[in-house]
Amino acid sequence: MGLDALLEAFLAVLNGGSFLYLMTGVILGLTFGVIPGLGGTTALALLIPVTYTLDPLNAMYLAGGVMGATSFGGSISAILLNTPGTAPNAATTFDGYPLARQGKAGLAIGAAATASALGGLIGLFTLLLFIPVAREVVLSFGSSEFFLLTVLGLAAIAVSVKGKLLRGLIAACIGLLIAFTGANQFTGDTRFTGGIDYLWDGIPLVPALTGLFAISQMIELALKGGSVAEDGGRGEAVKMKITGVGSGILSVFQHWTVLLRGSIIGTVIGAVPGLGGTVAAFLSYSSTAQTAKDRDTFGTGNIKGVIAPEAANNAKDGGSLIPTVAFGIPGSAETAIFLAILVLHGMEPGPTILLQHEREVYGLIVALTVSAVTASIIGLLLSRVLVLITRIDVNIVVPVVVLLSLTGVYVLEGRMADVLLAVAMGILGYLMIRFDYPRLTLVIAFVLGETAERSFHQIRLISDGEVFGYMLGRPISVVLIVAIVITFLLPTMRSAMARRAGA
Amino acid sequence: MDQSEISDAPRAVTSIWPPVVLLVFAIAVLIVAWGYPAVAARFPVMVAVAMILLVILDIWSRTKLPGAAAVDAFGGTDFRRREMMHNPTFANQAECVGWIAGAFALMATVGILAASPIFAAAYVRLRGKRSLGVAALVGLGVLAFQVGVFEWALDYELYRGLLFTKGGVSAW
Repeated sequence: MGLDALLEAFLAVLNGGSFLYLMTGVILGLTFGVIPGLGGTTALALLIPVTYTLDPLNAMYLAGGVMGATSFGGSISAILLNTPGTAPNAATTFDGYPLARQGKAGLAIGAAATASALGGLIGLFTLLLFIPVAREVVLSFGSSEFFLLTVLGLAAIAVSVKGKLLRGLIAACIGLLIAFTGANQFTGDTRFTGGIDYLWDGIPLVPALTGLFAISQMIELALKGGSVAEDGGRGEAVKMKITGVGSGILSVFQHWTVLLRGSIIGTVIGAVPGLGGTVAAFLSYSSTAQTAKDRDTFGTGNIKGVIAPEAANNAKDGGSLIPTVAFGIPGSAETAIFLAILVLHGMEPGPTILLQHEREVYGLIVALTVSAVTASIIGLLLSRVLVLITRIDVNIVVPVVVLLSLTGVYVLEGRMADVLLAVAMGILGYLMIRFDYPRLTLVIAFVLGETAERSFHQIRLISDGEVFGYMLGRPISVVLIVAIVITFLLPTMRSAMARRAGA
Repeated sequence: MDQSEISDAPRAVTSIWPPVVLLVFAIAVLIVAWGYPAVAARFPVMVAVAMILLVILDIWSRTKLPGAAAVDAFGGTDFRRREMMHNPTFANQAECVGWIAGAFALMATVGILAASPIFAAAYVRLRGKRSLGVAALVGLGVLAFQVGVFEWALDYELYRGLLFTKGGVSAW
């Protein structure tokens, strides 16, 4: 396994039929990524029955095309609408949307496209270098490390929501409590269901995310009125300058260290089950923001705030294949659905898959890489048209996005209860926007809650109740504990130092 | 916290009432979780207690009590980077939430295909105050997308509504 298999996969993708499947996946991924609330999870879920009739390799190209393209598609709506097409794109809104409102949407899209493409490529190369040792690394992670990783992920995100640490942590608590709804996976006891059967399996991820991001954003947008791109202070539509696309491309090369760090963070985090693209994008964003000299400009339209999460978001696709394919542990809702496609085609995830289905696995890696690059090229070519989205009257955008999002939620499982949940989560999300409680920490906690609880119970069982002592006896855990403490203290230490310097 | 920063944000946002509501919620969760078997209760209780402590700090930081500034310095109750910088009236907020709830009610009653053009056109016409032609165009566009993508391309039957489906709400 190695270079030969990779070359074979690259040559195979050039075959007319396979390339057609890949491009179909890319177009679908871009489309579903751009439409807020749909994203790759919905696209893949809709594709499951479609891939059934395909050759396994072509199914990989189709699915890989979708997975590789949705991240960039999602960044377009994140930049233009402040509504991430997929959860990981939420980090892009912090600086992408302010840039769009300043009339620099072209700059942001150019940077996002280039960072996505290069991040995907770097992720692939890092993955190829990492594959020989990947198994040992992932196997060395026990329940203690999984638990601490979830805490680290939460801490990093709460800290990265600048000036809102306390409210970010409160939102995280709400997210954890939402995650605990339903039957406890450890004991089977049902919690917080209120006697509603629908809640026994817990709160489903996709309707919750759709509500928290798409619906709530639409409520806020409807209240704001006007067109999407406005100068908040004056209420005047900003003329979108689309000539900045070239500068956006160039800015990625100017900030190559940001790109490289984001790509490496993306690949490594992507390889850790349960974390995935959202954590990768936010870790990349926060680490860039915290170490930058111009950190005060983050959140107001700093181009590095677009490059960092986009590079990580695409680079994570390569890394996420390791636990998903090799261990059958999905890192996200998207990879969970992807697992279903693997099983549908007779590829049982596990350590043997790399030996028995080498062709398909490398085919998928190639599909993800090619789709990331082609999606960026297509996105760049269409950026002049895409920028026009921001000039549309919100009174047209709102009903369209609401209807398509709610329909997408319904299609996933065919349950109207999911649609109702999305509406409820939308209202919750709006209240969080209104009262300035960050939604992202809630979502991350919601996603990681199950892993955190399961890992914690496992540690208690293994350590006979001596949880902390057990953690301190494991070197990787100690490193993670130190990282958590530093993450929490860093902003306070920095502000104290700034005050001392100013005194 | 700089008082000017607080004053820039609406009083409804900076007042103690949002965290007070959260405090009530966290206490309710704690009471409910306390009744679960030990293992199932452990994590929810831990999180609820943590949330209560954090919310108390949040309330404290919004007051003029001694130490509030220190809480802000550590935890941050900064309202400068609010996502929502405008300040809509309660009636306007209720109306918008009502529209979203109305979309769901329509979908549930007459089905997604019938609800989509009706809702889109009604929203554009009534809330957006756009011409009847624009409203009809948006409604038909949404319908075309729903039928083209979901019903034809993906061969998926969208929900037909309580009026036209057997099983009622229990089929949801």
